[in-house]
Amino acid sequence: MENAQSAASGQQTEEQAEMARLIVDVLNLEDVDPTTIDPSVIMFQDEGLGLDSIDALEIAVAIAENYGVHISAEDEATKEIFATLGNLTAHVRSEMNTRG
Amino acid sequence: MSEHLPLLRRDLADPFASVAGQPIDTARFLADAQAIATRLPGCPQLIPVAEHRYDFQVLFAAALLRGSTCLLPARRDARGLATLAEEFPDAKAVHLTGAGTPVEVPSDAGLALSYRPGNAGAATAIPTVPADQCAAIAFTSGSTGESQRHAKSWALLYHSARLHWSQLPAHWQQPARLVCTVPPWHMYGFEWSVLVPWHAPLTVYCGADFYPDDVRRAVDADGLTVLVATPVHLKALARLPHRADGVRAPAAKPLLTLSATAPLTPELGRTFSDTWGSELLEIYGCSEIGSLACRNPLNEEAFRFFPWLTSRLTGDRLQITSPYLDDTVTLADRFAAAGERSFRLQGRTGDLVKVGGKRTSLGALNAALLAIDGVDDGIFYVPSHFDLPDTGRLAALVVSRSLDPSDVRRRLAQRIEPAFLPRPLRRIGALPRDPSSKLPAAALRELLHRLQRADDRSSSTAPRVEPGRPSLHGGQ
Repeated sequence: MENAQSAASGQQTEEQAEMARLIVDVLNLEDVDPTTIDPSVIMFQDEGLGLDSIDALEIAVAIAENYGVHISAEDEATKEIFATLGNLTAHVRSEMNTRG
Repeated sequence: MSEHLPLLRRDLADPFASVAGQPIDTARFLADAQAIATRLPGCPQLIPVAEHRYDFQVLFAAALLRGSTCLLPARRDARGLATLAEEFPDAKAVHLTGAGTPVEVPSDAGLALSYRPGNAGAATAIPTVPADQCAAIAFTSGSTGESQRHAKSWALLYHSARLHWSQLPAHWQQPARLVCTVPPWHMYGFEWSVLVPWHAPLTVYCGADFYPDDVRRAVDADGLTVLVATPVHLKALARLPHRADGVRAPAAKPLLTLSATAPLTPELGRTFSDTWGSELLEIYGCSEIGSLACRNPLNEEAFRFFPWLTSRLTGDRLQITSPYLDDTVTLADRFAAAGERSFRLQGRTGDLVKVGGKRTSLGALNAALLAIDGVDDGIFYVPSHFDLPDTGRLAALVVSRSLDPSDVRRRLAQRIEPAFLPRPLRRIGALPRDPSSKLPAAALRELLHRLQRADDRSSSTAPRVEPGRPSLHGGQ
């Protein structure tokens, strides 16, 4: 997972590319090419993909269904996790590793 | 002297909230509110900003005691707050944090207060508030997209919350924990998770309550739960897959689950009810008055309007009068009579649309789209109006020679709320307008179905998500 964390702006790792496809698919963002989502750009602001909290809910359910990782807001870092494609991918990978 | 009403009707020793797993009784909640009230600026209006439900409760109660009106804008990001500041130059945003982490607020963006919940001692009496005090102003988008204000007197909020609880069947009026997935500043969350517990034996769960796994944990504790949610959340909860430990729905069943903000289909109602083992009650409301009616989504088609309201149907438009509001309100939806005080929802009027509990009009969205430099033509539409799969979102077509859809999306995001951003936003060569430049519904329908068929063909050959790739899936 070093790839995901060290990814500079622009370039997606393979795992990030997979997560980007999942996001575009569950949110019905047909006009967004998943390969163009910058792993370091904020997804939930006007300048990014303009996603809202309902999108976060959809993404959380899709991640639970696809990877068995359950996202919780008990974790104060949840906002950070959802901030960028890079953070989200790194979080899912780290949870999967912890679970073993 | 004007009439005063109590801030709440609970015993001082009643468990009022659960914050970070710790119980806080009514006396301590009141003391928290009174302590924060002394630290508030004496401004006519106040914008309460608090991420945690208990902090919001304290801040709203404190504003009531200080005599300030709380502004509850739909849009709470920097741009939304800036627009509000233009309309209410004397309003001050107050950020309150106790249960969560401290927030840093630039001094020009308002005042930041922090405190420790339950630490201000215990109140010995319940304070009162003038009945005619303007307690809150809620905002909605009007039919042309302009912001509309709905002022709420303390009498309206107080009596509505009191009556909402008392009209529930007796077997639901039990001491319970209240878990709510809706933000406290949204009218539905405001009524049911902030105000109703001031009149009911409910302990407000003030912890993580948004993600499905958090809701499952909140419900899965000792005692009964009343869950306040929306169809979007019920769908996510019903779909919640098994955890690694095999747990799916909570072992404890909610006593009652409320749903509002959008119609709940009987199918989704049944799926949720089967998975979570809860009885359901669907609430119908409007921004001006609040909750107005209820129905059991599994076996009732019509909404039963609350008995203290007066309803009058003219054609398919329903006018509602509350004894606590001077104005009669004409509802934005169309209704048909279905019995005494019962009305069947027939759909929305004109081009009003509602997404994620927020209301706007297609006309306002189309205007925002066409105002983008480089957009030659375009239209927003509701997929289900054209018998296309209902995603709960709007979609749009755009014609542009110079902008690709992601450019258009970025520029739209600067003009409209994220909830209304189209999914999908698709670029096409031209819209099938007639010679008078009108867009006939039949022509639009034909175009949309042609695009949908092309989609079905391409998606059957090229799935977007490919499980089994040597990455997240392969790494287990």
